[in-house]
This record gives sequence, structure tokens and C-alpha cells, in this order.
Amino acid sequence: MSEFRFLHAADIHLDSPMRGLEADPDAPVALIRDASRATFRNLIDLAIDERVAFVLIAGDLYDGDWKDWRTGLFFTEQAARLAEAGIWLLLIAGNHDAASIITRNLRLPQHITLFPHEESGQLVLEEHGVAVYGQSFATRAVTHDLTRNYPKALPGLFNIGLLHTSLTGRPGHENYAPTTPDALIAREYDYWALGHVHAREVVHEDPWIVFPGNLQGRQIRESGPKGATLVTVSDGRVARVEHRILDVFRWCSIEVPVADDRDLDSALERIANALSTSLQAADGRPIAARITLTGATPLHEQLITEAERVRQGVIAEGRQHGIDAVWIESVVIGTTSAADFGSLATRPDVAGRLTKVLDELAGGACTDFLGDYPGRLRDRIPEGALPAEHPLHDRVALLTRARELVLANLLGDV
Amino acid sequence: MRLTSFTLEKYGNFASAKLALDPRPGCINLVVGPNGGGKTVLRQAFHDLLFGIPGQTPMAFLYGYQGMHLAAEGIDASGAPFAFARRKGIGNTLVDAAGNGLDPIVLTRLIGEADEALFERLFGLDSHLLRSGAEAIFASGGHLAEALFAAGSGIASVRRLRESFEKKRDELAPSRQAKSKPFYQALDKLTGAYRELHRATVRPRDWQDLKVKVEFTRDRRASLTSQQAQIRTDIERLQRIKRVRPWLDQRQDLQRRCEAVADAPRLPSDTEERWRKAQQGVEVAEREMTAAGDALRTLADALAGEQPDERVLKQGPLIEDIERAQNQIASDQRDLPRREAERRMAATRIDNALAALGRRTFDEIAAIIPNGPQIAAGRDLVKKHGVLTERRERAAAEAAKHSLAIAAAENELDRIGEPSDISDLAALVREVRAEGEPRRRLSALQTKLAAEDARLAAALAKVPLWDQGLEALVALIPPSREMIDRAAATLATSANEVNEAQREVERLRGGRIETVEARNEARQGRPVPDAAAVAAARSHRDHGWSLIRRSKFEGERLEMEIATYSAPRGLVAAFENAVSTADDVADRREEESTRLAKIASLDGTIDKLDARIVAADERLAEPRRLHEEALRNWKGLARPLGFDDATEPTDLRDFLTAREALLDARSAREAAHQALTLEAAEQEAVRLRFVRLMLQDEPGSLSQAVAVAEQVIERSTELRLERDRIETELQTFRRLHRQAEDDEGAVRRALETWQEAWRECLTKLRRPADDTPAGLERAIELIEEAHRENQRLVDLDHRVSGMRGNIATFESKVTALVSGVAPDLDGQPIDIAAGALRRRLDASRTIEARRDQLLSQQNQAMLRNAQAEAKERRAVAERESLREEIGAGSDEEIISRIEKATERARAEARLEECERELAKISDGWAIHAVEQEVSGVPVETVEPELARLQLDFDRLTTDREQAAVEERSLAEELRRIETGENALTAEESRQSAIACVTRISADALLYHAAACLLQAGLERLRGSGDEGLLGRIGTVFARITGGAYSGVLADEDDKGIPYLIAIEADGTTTKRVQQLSEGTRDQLFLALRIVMLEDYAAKAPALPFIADDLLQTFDDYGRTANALTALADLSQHVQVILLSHHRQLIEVAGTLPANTVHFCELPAVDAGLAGAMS
Repeated sequence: MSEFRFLHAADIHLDSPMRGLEADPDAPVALIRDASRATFRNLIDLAIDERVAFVLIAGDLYDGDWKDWRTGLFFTEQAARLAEAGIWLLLIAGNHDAASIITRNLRLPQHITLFPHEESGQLVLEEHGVAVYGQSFATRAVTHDLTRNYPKALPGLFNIGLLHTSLTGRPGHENYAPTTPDALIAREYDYWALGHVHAREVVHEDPWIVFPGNLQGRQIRESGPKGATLVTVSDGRVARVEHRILDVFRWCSIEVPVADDRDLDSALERIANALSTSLQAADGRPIAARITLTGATPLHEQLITEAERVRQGVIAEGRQHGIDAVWIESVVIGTTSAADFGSLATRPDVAGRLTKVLDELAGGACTDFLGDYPGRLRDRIPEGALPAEHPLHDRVALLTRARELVLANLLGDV
Repeated sequence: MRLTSFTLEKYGNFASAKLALDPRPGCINLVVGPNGGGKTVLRQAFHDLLFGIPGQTPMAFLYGYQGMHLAAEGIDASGAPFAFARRKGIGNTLVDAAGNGLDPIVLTRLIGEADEALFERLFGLDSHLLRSGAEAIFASGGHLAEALFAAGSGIASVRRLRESFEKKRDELAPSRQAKSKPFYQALDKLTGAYRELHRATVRPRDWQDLKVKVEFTRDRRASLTSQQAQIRTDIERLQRIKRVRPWLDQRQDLQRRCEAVADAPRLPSDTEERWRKAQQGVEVAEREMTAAGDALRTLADALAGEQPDERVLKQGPLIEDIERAQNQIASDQRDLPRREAERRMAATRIDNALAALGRRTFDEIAAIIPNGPQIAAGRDLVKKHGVLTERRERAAAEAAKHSLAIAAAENELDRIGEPSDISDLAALVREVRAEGEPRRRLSALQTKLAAEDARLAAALAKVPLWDQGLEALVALIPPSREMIDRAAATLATSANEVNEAQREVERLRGGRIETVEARNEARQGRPVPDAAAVAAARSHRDHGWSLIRRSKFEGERLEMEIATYSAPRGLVAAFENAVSTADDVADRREEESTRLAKIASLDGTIDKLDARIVAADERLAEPRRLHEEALRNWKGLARPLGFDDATEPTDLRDFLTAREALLDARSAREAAHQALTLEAAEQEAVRLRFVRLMLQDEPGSLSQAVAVAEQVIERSTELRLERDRIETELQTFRRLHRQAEDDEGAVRRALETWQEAWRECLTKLRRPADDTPAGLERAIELIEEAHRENQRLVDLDHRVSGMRGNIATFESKVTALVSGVAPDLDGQPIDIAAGALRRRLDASRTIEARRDQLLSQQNQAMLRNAQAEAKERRAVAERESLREEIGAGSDEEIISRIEKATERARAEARLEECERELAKISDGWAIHAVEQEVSGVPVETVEPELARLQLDFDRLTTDREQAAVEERSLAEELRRIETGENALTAEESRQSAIACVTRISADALLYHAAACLLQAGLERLRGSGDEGLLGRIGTVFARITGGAYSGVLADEDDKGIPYLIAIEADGTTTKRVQQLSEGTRDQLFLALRIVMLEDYAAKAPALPFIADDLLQTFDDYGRTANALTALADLSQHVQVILLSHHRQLIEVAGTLPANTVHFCELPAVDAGLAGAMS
């Protein structure tokens, strides 16, 4: 019985930075800085340990706007390890690679094949009975279905399609090289190795259509375990598909309900427990956590008015797990007030009328009363630096939070 | 809600208390009690009544939770009575008078949406809160919106809050750039990180260029190294020759010298030194031996002079004991007389006490123990007697007082009599009031009808193009909007198509004109040379070339021909002219052919345009026909409405819209008319019901009927309330009278029991049967005094005997010692003899210590003497042994042999050293090989050759070093580039700076938005307020200040923000809040609060206003009276309950009109309890 294995990875974004983490002298800076390289090393180690026949990278090996040549040198150094072990590395350029200066200048060593962007390419590995097809992105934005150019499956071989695509569209990802699962199935390949979507997803089985997700989460939206897909092929059929976790640093978005807590210490204890659970789930990896406090609670007013104290308290709780273990990305006060501000707004006294007026102001379209401060602030910040959800971009959310802050301070116990 | 009574059971310091309150509008309830007398408890009780008694309450400090109960009775806003109570417990604690659970909705109906905070902040006020509110107004400079908010919400910190938001914002990210602020620091970091990232990023081309440079430099350095190695080999050979040549000469010389001293002895090289040291060793040992003997003798002499007193030394411990006891004995001798005197006085006091008790000896009272049960029982009985006596007197006084009060209340009830039943009338008034004020309702409907009439007239006026009146317009049947739209659209489309076709014709005609102009222009031009002219020009040119060729290259003499051809310019110039002319003629022929082709092409274009113009003219006819048809259709729509043919579609659409608005207005007007008619009929029916119920003069309108009915109800209600109050008081007085009588009986029974115990006690204490409590109290004191003094007497006896024994023992010890060791002291006083003994002991011990030290030194000296003798013997033996080793007898012979041996050894050593040096400097070559190499090179050639080679070598060294430095630098740069993480580090800094900027800017923006929102909210709140608010505030302020100020106004500052100003009595002088005195600001804040309370009461069910010692800052009589008047006015809207510990308020209240103040006094509280409460 003939059997071989291969590794399928995508969206490695070598040397892409972690986003949203503030400087912290106690944080594992070196580990975080080296995270994307370390996970790539893990990928190469896994390939060698598992003695795979080849490794597939379905696009976005680099970041398009990253120009440092050392990233390319690091890649060739690691690829050489594969070559020494006699393992092929087959890859396509995705939307980020296409624009990468590194891709354009790097001379690839032997045993590495980058599929062309002018048309679909094909590589037959005779010793394993495998045919791999792929086409790179020519430019950053490819908006047509690339699979129309992919050839029909070769009979008698195990056929693999390598494709960077958003398929029918995935939230948070540009709609590049769109296609449908049916169109892929129609090619009669045995395995479609996809890339571009950073969350792991098995779209279809027999034939297998798989997004492995990215190797290492880089921001809070990319939370949870990350890695590559190890595929075992036996007698020309997929026998096993396994997800192997390779990340070295874990992003955790943690919701902590504090409705039942009567004081801040109690809430902090609950947060500490949640952090502990996430840390255990990360199997010894350091974590970066976004703590979102939820629930209708009498603590809401205190949480709002003492937000910085709460943030420091959460950071201190995180630090109790060891200075290299937990990094707090942010603390989001998502609680609501236990006080009934709704009925307060119907009361005829001054406090009730002020509440009603604040509701109107916060919900109104006119924000002239904010003056020119927001504009001045925006002018000082480099364009594109702020995330989309920043209050400078969302006046409604800003005024809603400001209203809560005012009421919490002024009428918290009205 | 207004309360008529409030009852507290086992609450705070009140076992049971009931306050009777007056609910009448215009009446203040003044509750007076001493400081700590329960006002705070009462205030908390109001709170707990409305919102429940907390699970843990300090109000249980006296009676516990069991039986804690609060109850209230009163009337609601419609005058209907209510009663409810609050029990201590969990869950729904609201109960009715019988203790049954009540639905909380009952309370909600009375107090509306009011909650605890509203009760505390709006309906509660004390002097502290009054002052805080006044200070907030002062701090804001009288800012109108903030003042209203502070007064109406009880929250005085709104300005501080806004300022704190702005402060927090500016601490993070002030609008003006400040390097020290976190936002700008983060921005700096971000900018730095961008710069660093740009600097640290390695581009592919940079790296490739660097790699090429490294390889080139490496190759060059390798080449230089190879050349240098060859030169180095040659230099080393010549240097070796130069180096070894002198050593080879020296070696020959030393070989000859060794042969000359070959017969000298061989001795070790250190022989001379060893001989000298042996001689010195013998001399030193002899000197040390002599010195040791001298020291031994000196010590023996010193020992003979040191002899201590051995007897004294032997008794040393005993002498030391005596010295230690000496101080104690002196103290005993000093104290003994005083203690004896004290003993005598104690005995005297015992005798006196016994005599006062009528006893002769202490034994007679010894059995009665102080603090024993007999004494304690006696004391208890004395104390109990006092308490019972006082209680009996108080109960009798209370019973008498309450009897008088009961009689007065019964008389008052008889005077008032029973009020009539007004329930039906009240129900009818409520029914009418529930629907609003009748006259206002009727007036509103009339106003609405007038408004609808005006709206109808306006709608008619707005109908365009119409002058035929309302009814004609209503009767008109206009075309539908769809028909108009369709006809208008067809008309517009056909007009567009006509215009389009017309434009096409004009465009083609314009094109034809341009083409004709272009063709005419092409036809104009210079005359064109014919073919012969071209051939002639070319022939002339060729002839010139022929002349040049033949004259210059073939040597023909053609002067004549040349002169003919070229005169007067010369052959070359003439030839150049001929070439130019031939080219020009040929070019003109070429241009002409092009021009002719263009003219032909333009003629063709004109023909095509003519054909297209004809076709376009034909195509124009159809759109024109369609347009005319559409126009006819449009006129068919407009004319039936009476409009002319020029009416635009827009006009027709506007007409339809205005007509529809008019029809709506007409319908609304009809509805308003019907509503008015209906309301008038209903009011008349109700008025007749009032007439039937009141049986009085018939009122003219329903409003008048309601007003008369309300007066009747009010009078009846007042009477009922007064009766209720007096009955409540009567019940209370009767209950208190019963309690006083019960208490008196209880005291009487307690005194009888006491008498039995008293008799038994006197017997046990052996006192006469007729002894009084005072007599017994004195006897107990005497018995206790006798016991105390007896105990003291026993103690003093023991002390005196101890002192005497100590002194005797001491004296006997000293006497015995003197006789044993110092008989010469016999007869001296004891203390002098003891001191002398001590001094003799010290002297003997000093001598003994010195002698011990000398003995120790003598032993050491003897040891050193023996060591010196042994050392001297060893030194002599070593010297003689060396003498034999050298092989000579006398000292002079020994020195001679040593000198010869030294000379031989030195010569051999130098030869050996020379050969060693040769081996070292000849690069490993054998000496004979070196000799051969040296012999082959003449001495005089070595230096010049070396100099030449060295110059070459140095040059190569410089080049190679430069190459090496360059290579190292480039390689290091390449290594740094390949392994560095600078770009990653910079990117990480950039990301962290972005995160920091994001967070800080978001926080700062939030604080900014909160500050702006609060400010805008307050302004809008003020703007949306009642127009007459300022006037009402001014009226109340004038009332409180007794006319010192006539009102308030709002003025605006530079930013247009309104602020309060006070108007003085003259009506013109104004003062800002900052100019008012502290007391006047208090009055202003009170005025604001009163108006806010009135405002609230007009919109929702109001709670009683509880003012706690509110007027204690109103420090004069007039101010207090004015404030009470204003509060009385307030009580028209809400019930006012004023708590105070200032009894003079009663006096001030007495100056107000009758029935303005209802006085209540809190029950007296035990002083101890008052302390616990405060």
C-alpha cells in the first residue's frame, strides 16, 4: 500500500507584527517579535519530523507592504532545511505576495516551486504520483475566478489544487479570486489547498476543500489556536486530515459576565479565573487577551468612571500568572447599568429631564457641540494608523459611551 | 401625598411615638425636639416608611428588630384618605393598618416614579446641603443652567464634574501640543518608529550590492596576501643571515676561553653564598644566647619585690558581701523611724472606726468582709430605694398632667361637632378634574376651531391660478395626477426629440461649412514648377559637382568654366546653392501632389455631408409631428380647469397638491366645530348635576360649579382632619394616663418587697432595725475603712521587724572580720571599718596580679635562653660541614678555591648561552647549515637588499590591511543586515505606539465628548425650561429676603452664557452672585429649590418636603420669619415638615398668621440614649 503525507499551510505573513499591544517592559517582547518566524520554523520542523513528501503554501507568505530583505533571507534559510531533507516546497503568491518586493527579488533555491501568475502552472511529482496545479496572483486585487484556467485532473494521479481565494466571500476578508465550492468540485481534484481566509475551515470533504487558517494570530480578531493541516494519502485517497497547532503566542477574546458581582474585587477575581482558563487552554503559550466585561450590573457606573483603574487591575491580575504569560490587549467595558435609566428619563424632575436631553443629544445627528477638538486630534495622527472601530470614526458609539460616563458620574445612584 | 399622622413603634429611640401632622395647604408642620432628641431618627423613619426598612439598620439599637413598625395616614392629591404601614422584614413589607400585606402599587399611586435618591436630594434639605448648593452657585458664578440643576437635582457637583472631564482630557491629550502629555509622547514614539523603520529596512538591491562588494574585496585581499608571503620569505632569509653572523663570531671566541680554564675545580654556583651565610649564622646565635641570659636575671630581681597580704585575700568574698549589704543597711537605718510612726497612726484610725461603729475590738467586725455578699446586698437595697422613690413621684405627676389634657381634648371635640358627608360631591369633582379644567377645555376647542378656520383660509390662498372661491374648487373634478404626469412626460419627450433632431441638422451644416473653408484654403498656394524646371535645376547641380570632381580630383584646368558657373561667389558656394535649389524645386513638386490629394478628399467629404443633411431634414419631420400632437393633448387637460395654453405641468401639479391640502384643512375644521359643540353640551349636563348635589344658588358655568364644590369639600375636609387629629391626641392622652397609673401601682408593690429585704439585711450587718438607708451607707463605709487600716497595720509590723534584723546581722559580720584580718581596726565605727577592709582587699589583689605577670615572663625568658644555646650549636656544625665539602682547611684557602671554580663555570656558561641563542635565532637550522648560508652572502649586500624588500613589503601590508578593513567592514555590515532585527524591532515599536495612541486618543475623546455632552445637555435643559421660571424664582427670593431683593434676572456673559443676577429692592441695582453675602446666597438657593419643588409637584405626585434644621444659618429673627413664610407658600404645593432643635422657632412661628404653623414636639429622650443616637 503506497502512502505519503503532505503539509498544507497558508497566510504565513512572515515578520508581520502583532497589532494592538502597547509597550510593556514585562512582556515577552522577543517572543512576540519572533512569533511569525518561530511558527514557520515549527512548520518546517513538523514537515521534517513527519517526513512529508511536500509542503504547500497557499499564498501570502509575506506581507505586501513589508520590504525588509531579511525576511526573504530567513525564508530561504528555512526552505534550505526542507531541501536538505528532500522535501518539496510548492507555493503560490496571494494578494499580499503579489505586491511584495521580496517576492519579486528572491531567487528560490532548488526544491521550491512558485507557480506562475500569467497562467495556471502544473507540477507532477512522479515518485508520489501527485499532480499539483496553481496560479499566483499577478496583482494585489484579482477579482475574477482563477480556477477557470486550471486544467482537468490527470487520471491515475492524486490531483491537488493550490488556490488563494475568498471562495463565496468571508467576513473580514477582501473578495479576491472568488469562486464556489461547486466550481472546485467540478475540477475533479482530490484536494483543494486554499488560502486567504485566516480562520480554519473544512469547506468540503471528498473532495477535500480546506482553509488551514493562518499559522500565527496577529491581532485580537485572529484568536484561538493556529496551525497547518497535515494530510495523509493512502492508495491515492485522502486517508486522514489533521490540524496541527503550531503557534507560539495565543490571542484570546474573553467575555467575562459580571452581573452577579457586588464589588470590583469580586469582578477582578472572576477575570483572574477566566484568564487562568484561557492560559491553560493555550498549553503553556503566552496569551494576549481582550477582556470584555458584560452583563447588567450595579458595578457598571464604577467600571465606567474608574475605567483606567479597572484596566490596571486587570493587568495586575494578568501579571500574577507570571510576567511572561499574559499581556492585556485591552479591557472593554461592555456592561450595562442595573439602574433603570429608561424610566428615569420619563421622570419630571431635573435629573430625569437631563437624562432625556442627553439621550436626544447622544442619538441626534448633530455633533457640532463637540467643537473642533476631534478634528484637531485626527489631524495629528498619521493617516491609516487608527483602527476602524476608533471613536473618531464612529461618533454614535462615542456619544453613547460619553452619555454613559456622564450618567454614571452624575446620576449613578439616582 | 400629605400625611396626617406618622407612628413609630420600636424604632430608634422611640418605643412608641405618634406625630399628628397637618395636611392643609399653606400650613407648615414644625417638629421641635432637643439636639439628639430623635430628629435624625425621624428623618430616616420617613425614608424607611416610603422605601422599606433595610435588612441591617442602626435603628434597632435599643429595641431590636422585633416589633419595629412605621405607619402613616394621610390624604392623596385628590384629598382621598389613605393609610399604610411598613414592617421590618423581607419581601413586600408594605402593610395596611391591620397588618395585612398591601400591593406596592398603592404606594406608587401616591409617590409616582419617585425613588430614594429623589427623596433624599429633592425632597430633603438640611443646612449642610443648603450651604453646599449655595457654594455651587457661587463657584459657577451664578451660571443659570448649573444653578437650576443643582437646586432641582440636589447634585451640587456638576461643574466640578465637567471640569474633571476636561482635566482628564487635557492630562491625556490637550488641544495645544505639549511634549509632556501622554498623547504627544506616544505620537513622538510613533514618528520615531516610522523613521527607524524606514532606516532599518533593508531593500533587496542594497543587500545584493553589498554582497558583490564583499566578494570583490575578499579576492583582492587574498592576492595581496600571496604576494606579501613571497617577499616575507626573502626578508626572513636576509634577516637571519644578518642576525646570526655576530653570534657565530662570538662562539669561536668563547671556545678558546674555555680551553684556558680547564684545570679549575667544579663547585656549585651558590658555594660562595653558602659559606658567607654559615659564618653569619654562628655570629647571630652567639649574640642571642647572651641577651637571653640577661633578661632572665632582671625578672628574678623584680619578683622578689612583690608580696601581697594573704589573710585579706583569703577573706575577699566575705569583704565583698559586706560592701554589697552596706547600702541596704543604710536605707533600713534611715526608714525605720518613719515606718514605726505610720504603724502607730494606722492603729489609731482602726480604733476611731470601731468607736464610730460602737464596737470595741476589730474581731467583732472581722466576719463582715468588704465587697462580700452582705455589703453588696446592702448597697443594692440603698440604690433601689432611691430609684423606686423617684419613679413613684414621676408617675404621679404624669397621671395628673394627662388627666388635664384628656379633659381639654374632649371639650374641643364637643365644640367642633360632626362634619357632613361630601363623598358624592368629591367624586363628581374628581371626575370633572380628571378630564381637565372645563373652561380651559372649552377654550382650547374654541382656539382650535379658530386655528382651523385660519388654516382653511391659508390653504385656499395657496391654491395657484384659482380665483373662483372655495366651494367651486371643492366641486371641481380635476384630472388625475397620473394623467397629468403622462401627458407632461410625452410633451417633454417629444420636445427633446425635436431639439435633438434639430441639433443634428445644425451640427452637419456646421461641419459642411468648416470643410468648404478647408478646401478653399487648400486651393490657395505658390505656383508649382513643372518637370523641366526640376530637370534643369538638377542638371545645374550635377554640372557643379562635375567641375569640382574634375578640377580637384582629376587635375583638369577649368578656370573658364568655373568662372562661368560660379562667378562671383566661388565654385563651392555656387555648388551648394545649386544643390539647395534642386532640392527646393523637387520638394515643391512633392507638396503640390499632396495638396491636390487633400482637395479631392475634402470635395468628397462635402458631397457626403450634403447627403446627410438632406436625410437629417427628413428625419426632423416626424418628431415635429409627434410634438404637436403631445401639445394638443396637454391643452386638452388644462383648458377644462380654466387655465390657458401656457400652463406648465409644474403649475398643474402644484394646483393639485394645494387643492388636496385645502380639502384636508376643510375636514379638520369640520371636526373641530363638532368637538366644540359636543363639549359645550356635556359641560352643561355636568353643571346641572352639581346644582342638584349642592342645593345652592345656581352657578353660571361648570367651572364656577367646580370651584364652589371644592370650597365646600375643603371646608368639610379641614373639619374632618381637625376632628381626626384631636381624636388621635385624645387616644394618646388616655393611653399615657393609663400607663402612668399602672406605673404608680407597680412602684408601690416594689417598695413593699424592698422592706422585707431591708430588714433581713440590717440583721446580717448587725445594724439597728430602725436604721435608714443613709445610716447603713455610712456604716458600710466605716467597716470598709477599718478593714483597710487593719491590713495596713499587719504589713507595717512585718516591715519593721525585718529592718531591725538586717542591721544586727551586718554589725556582727563586720566585727568578726576585723578581729580576724585587721585587728588594728578594732574599735572603729562599723561603716568605717568596712570601708578600710575593702581598700585593703583591693591593694592586695593588685600586688597579686603583678606577681603573676612577672612569673609568666620569667618562664618565657628561660625558654628563649635554651633555644639560643641550641641554635648556636647547630650553626657551628653547619659551617664545619661546608668547609669539608669545599675541600680546604683555612678560611683563606676556601675563598681562593671558590674564585677559580667561579671563573671556569662562567666561561662554559657563556659558550652554552651563545649556542642556545644561535639555535633560537637561526629558525631551526643547524649551526653548520647556518654557517654555510652566511658564508654564501657578502656582508655589504645584505642591508641594501633588505631595505628594498622591506619597502615592497610595507607597501603590500598597507594595501592588504586596507583591503582587510574594508572586507571586515563590509562583511560585518552584511552579517548585521542578515541577522539583525532592527526592522522588526522598529515595527514592533510602531505597533505599540499605534496601540498607545489609539487608546489615549479614544480616552481623551471620550472625556471631551462627556464634557461637551454635559455642557450641551445643561444648556438645552435651561433652554427648554419654563419661560416664567425666572419670574417665579424672583418672587420666592423676594419673599425669603423680606423684600431686600425684588427678584432675579438672567444676563449673558461674553460667551453668551446666561447667569443669575439679583435685583435689589430699588428695582434697578443688580448684584452678581459673587457679590451676595453667604447668607443671601443660602436664601437664593432655597428660592431655587422651592421653585423646583413647585415645578415637580405640578407634573407628578409629590412627597412631603422634609427640612432638617434648615433655618439654623438664618441667624436673625426677620430672615427666619421670611423663610417660614416662603415655606408656607410652598406647602400650597407640597406638604412641608420642618424639623428643628431651636425652640425659638416656635416664637417666630407665633408671629405668622394663625394656622400657618402646626407645632409638634418630639417625646423626651433619655440622655444616655440621646448620646447613643447622636
